[in-house]
Amino acid sequence: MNAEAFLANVRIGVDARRLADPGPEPSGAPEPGLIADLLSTFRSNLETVSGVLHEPKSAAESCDVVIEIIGTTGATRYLSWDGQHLPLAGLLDRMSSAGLRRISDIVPWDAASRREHQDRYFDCAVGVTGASAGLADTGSIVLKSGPGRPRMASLIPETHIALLQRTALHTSLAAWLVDQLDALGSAANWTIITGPSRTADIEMVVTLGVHGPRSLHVVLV
Amino acid sequence: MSGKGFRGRAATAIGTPAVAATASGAKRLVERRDEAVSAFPEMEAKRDEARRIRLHTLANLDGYLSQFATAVAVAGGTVHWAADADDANQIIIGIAGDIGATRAVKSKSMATEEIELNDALAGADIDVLETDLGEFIIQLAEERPSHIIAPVVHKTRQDIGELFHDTLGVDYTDDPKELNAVARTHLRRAFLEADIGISGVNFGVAESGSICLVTNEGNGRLTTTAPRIHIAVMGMERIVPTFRDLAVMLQVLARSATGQKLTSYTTIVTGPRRVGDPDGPDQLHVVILDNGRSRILGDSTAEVLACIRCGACLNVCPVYRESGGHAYGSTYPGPVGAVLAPSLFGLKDFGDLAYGSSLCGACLDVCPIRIDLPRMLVELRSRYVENGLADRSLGRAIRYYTSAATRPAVFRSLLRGGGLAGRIPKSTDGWITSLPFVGKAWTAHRDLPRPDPKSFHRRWKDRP
Repeated sequence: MNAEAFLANVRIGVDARRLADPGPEPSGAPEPGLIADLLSTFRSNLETVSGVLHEPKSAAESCDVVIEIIGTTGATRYLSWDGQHLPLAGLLDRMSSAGLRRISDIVPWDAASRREHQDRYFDCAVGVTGASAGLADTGSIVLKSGPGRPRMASLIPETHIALLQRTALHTSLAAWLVDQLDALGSAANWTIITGPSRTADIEMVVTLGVHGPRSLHVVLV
Repeated sequence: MSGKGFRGRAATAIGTPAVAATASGAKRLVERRDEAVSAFPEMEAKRDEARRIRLHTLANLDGYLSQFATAVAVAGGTVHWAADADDANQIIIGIAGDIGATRAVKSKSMATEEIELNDALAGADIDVLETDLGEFIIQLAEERPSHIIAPVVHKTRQDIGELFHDTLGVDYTDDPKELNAVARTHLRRAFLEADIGISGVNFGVAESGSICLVTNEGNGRLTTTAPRIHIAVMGMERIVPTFRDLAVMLQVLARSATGQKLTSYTTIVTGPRRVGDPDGPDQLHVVILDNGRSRILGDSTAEVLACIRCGACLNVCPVYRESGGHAYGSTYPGPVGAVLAPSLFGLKDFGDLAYGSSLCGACLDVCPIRIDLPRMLVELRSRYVENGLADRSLGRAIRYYTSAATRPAVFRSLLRGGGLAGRIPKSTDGWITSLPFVGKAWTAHRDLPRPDPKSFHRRWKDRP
């Protein structure tokens, strides 16, 4: 069916005016913006969804923390955003010096080699990314995809390490949106991540790490 | 769907292990929902706002759909308009054919269940694999889901353990963690090897042409990232005007559905990958589905289109808990299904679902959009009777009762006779389970309390 015919049918339904009155728009009261301690609220909500927060005291310590986390997984390969998109200068060099190898995950725009290429990193156990924002009321982090920021880095590996700037903490999604206006449509993919991947399909028992990461580490820089 | 009707199917299902599992799962979901709502002081205000947003959107749906479609195209996606299920399936098969696709992975989508997409794809020699754990289990078991968001709420871990053992050849286990690991391993390669990823849409955002997916497992993200083509199937009513509106919907959806503040992944997709993006699908197709929705929009049940598919009404419904989802014989079970199914699929075959309710109103109590399901169920019953579909003897019984109840003398003498009825043996524990003649239509579905031998009129007369 074409758009005109489809929308004409919708218009007939709309014109029948069978719905209840939606009521007036709210007066535009601002979102409750004041959380006494943004950081401790974020920490508490992140932990509730089984995420782990690391609070290193310096840039050097931050790099150490990342390398240490990877050490616990036994992995030597990792996926990552480009260094310019990570809020921790020099991290990738430090990781390289520590014997960790970054795997490229740029997928070419054509069928055959796409599959073959993805195959090379599908078993990568660690992913390192930045984050555009942290949302305190839900313990979430917000990731924007784009050049140098592959989606797979936060999706394929069992362990996802996200670097978040302290200054990027916000009260909530709605509060963060207020300043964003056009942002959410400006990238092909935004993902708000609230803890590791999970399911409760089997007898409502929560199990972590279904198709996405089993562990989520947020490193505050 | 068997010819027995809802009551027949429910009667068969009551007391079975599948229903016991359903009731237990539903109860847990209700507990989690209640906890999440009590911990969220703004819930009532947000429900009001969510209702306002949904009603406003539906009242201007043609405009918002048009805006949405234009924005999808600007972002590099392709919009397809599907009048009905066949149309949608043909469109999807066509997209697959254009790239010679033979394999598809799917993340959970009730809209694709509604149009029976998997069967259509199979008919076109396209392999489709469900990747949501619950849907994967359903597919292996060759069943339909029994709940809007928890597809295998009717299965125990033992059922699933046996199923995996029999169909996948793995060692038997009934530990959810191990079962989860089996599914993860089995499905991993499928994401890699699929040509197409098919998803539903939780919300389309009109201002930007974005589609929002609300998921927990990560399969929704993988399905819409790894394969070259992403096809998103969206019921035409699943639109919100702006991202601000989306934020409100997100505050009530997960809390109502699973008791989470937000699900693990809230993904906002705007077009296919852009130049310079290292990964993501090369093409995005959004299939907008009518399949009867525009007709409902012009009907007194229009409000049911405001549903955001949280499943809360199922979880609290005593009838759903006692009968299980399969008794409804429809893609959409429970209270919302009892309104949607007759409206979408026909009063004749599904109108009896409107009687599968005690009108207790629990569904309205928990609906994040405050959809007046009880009112619509009564209206559907009325329509069912007017169309001559209801049991004639019920109408007769009510007419007899009416003629007695509107004649005080007749009524009083009936009451005196009713006292005698109290002594009629066919009562169990003070309840009459079977009346003769026209009374049969009433007691077929309800028990009557045994009337006291002494009527109220008598007591009043005899009062000291």
